[in-house]
Amino acid sequence: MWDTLIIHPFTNVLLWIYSLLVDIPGAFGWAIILFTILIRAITWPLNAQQLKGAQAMQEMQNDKEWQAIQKKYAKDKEKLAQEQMRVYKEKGINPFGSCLPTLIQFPIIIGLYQSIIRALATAPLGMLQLARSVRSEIFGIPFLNAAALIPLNSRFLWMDLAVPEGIPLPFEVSFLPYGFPTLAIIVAITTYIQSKLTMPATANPGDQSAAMGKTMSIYMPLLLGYFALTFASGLSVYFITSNLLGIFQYAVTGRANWRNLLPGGDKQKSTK
Amino acid sequence: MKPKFMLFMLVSILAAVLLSGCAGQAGFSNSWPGLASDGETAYLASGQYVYAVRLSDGKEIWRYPEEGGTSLQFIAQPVIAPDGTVVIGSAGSDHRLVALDPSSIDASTNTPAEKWIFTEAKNTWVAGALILDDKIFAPNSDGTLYVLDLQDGFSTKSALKKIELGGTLWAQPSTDGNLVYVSSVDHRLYAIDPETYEFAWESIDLGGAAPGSPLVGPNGNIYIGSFASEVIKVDPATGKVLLLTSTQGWVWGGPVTDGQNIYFGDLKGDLFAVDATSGSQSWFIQPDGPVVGSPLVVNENIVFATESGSVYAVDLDGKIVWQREVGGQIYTAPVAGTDQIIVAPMQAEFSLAILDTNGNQVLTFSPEK
Repeated sequence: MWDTLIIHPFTNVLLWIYSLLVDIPGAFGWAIILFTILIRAITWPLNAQQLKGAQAMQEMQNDKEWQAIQKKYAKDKEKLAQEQMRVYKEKGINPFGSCLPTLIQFPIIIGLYQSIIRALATAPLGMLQLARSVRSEIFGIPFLNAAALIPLNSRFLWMDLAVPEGIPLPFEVSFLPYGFPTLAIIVAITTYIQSKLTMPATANPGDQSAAMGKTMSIYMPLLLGYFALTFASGLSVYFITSNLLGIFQYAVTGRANWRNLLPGGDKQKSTK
Repeated sequence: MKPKFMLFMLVSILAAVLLSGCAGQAGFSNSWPGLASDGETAYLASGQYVYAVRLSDGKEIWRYPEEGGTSLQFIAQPVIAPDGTVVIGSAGSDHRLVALDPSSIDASTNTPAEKWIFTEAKNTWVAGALILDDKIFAPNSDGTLYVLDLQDGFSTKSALKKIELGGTLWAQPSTDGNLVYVSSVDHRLYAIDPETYEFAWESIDLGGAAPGSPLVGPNGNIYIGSFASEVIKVDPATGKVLLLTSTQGWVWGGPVTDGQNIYFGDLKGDLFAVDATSGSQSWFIQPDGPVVGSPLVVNENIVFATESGSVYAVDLDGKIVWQREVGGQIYTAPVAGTDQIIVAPMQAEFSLAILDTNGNQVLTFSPEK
């Protein structure tokens, strides 16, 4: 099921893009970048919804009725939750609407990672799985000459996309077996910038949404940075491209909060 | 916000676990076992160990190394030198090629002595080596064919010659005594003079990956199948190529011959018998699954295994003599014992099945933990 719905389509699209670029040096890296752009374009409405949802949740923090029920039911968590849900419903807000697109990213990340590994087929069993995945034709129309494409060239810039990235160091560091992890650092920085840009400024010190956003802006770069450090560098190329496209999306839709990148920039001036 | 955060954490952990789970695919150990036999003993290269199994009773004689670890992974076909030395390379992060001396077993560990070791390769050993006279020709995934001197007496060997072919080498080389033939996953077939290390002719573009070994067939011609869904015949004197036959599926395993026909399977699930001279199809059968490993010609029968876990014996006219469901998935080519057929399934209840020549499963072997 997972293979049919995710891995096979992802692998075939990746190979198809690769087949268009095969004569360009680093074709598979460019194929991952183009594939990420494609995924970002498809999920653009979802990301827009996420931004909208986050903004609505933020505005809710300053809503008088919301603040009143927080105060009134401060000691009755169950009642508070019921009242919160009622207010959400009345205002047409889906409390999970802002995190749904983030959750959708996970199967994409896992699917993409498995597709990259499958496409690069560094071992016989992987090659056999790849042979099973590729479609030479779709509905009778020739699609891929996979036999001519395989094996794929895994080199991209200075990297081998099938293994974690690292620039060799003149000395050995036990926890950095692949060398200096340039890509993992870029992944962490771009993830941090992206999450900071989407955090609305807040004047409310008890704002749970802002507190969680702050936690996430630290947690997510570390998590994705760890993934980039540990897994095939093809995944890092996806992360960086995706983050840059995310920043671009926030910028063009006018939602990027650039002041958040400055120290103390996430604090809104009190209107009182 | 709390449930949302918890959900996010849960999905993050799940993602990490799933990614970690498939990280093994990025490594090189993820493959089917290597298998060889000298008639009395089967040598199984499977995961962290190489096992020697006595065919008469299915018991383990020795294993290497004493303590398995993730750095050593064995998937290549073990190669048995005329003096009984077993040569095997690791497909783990430790890229050693090692020669084991079964005549010198440490009684306390039940492990053979390392006769020599070679550590200059940059990548994994997926293919078995070829022994020709006093030399060993060992193809590595780094695209280099390493030539070693078997008689130099060094316990740590250096390469006599590194022949850089490029691409990825997963197939055991073949020889007709005059030239060494090497096929690559990068679509090429090379012919190399074993004395001068010069190429006999310009490498041939096969049109697709060739993970199977070339066959030196009747009349000295070379036969090789590929992912281009065809088997070609090459004149070893000139390197001139003739299309022998086309198939429906990709050809993985190298062809074998009985002197008249050549036999090979494909990933669509066919086994073909093709006249080695004319290329006309003598017969073909459709077993219960794809045929990855090379067939085996034994006792006037063609024995082969399928991905569905079956072993077939077909007579020279294409009639099924027997079929045995062993279980698991069989990608490794079956090998012959003195009067046995040995197969190494994956994901089965056992690691080796020993069949008699009538297809009866007489013994199995599962390594003790």
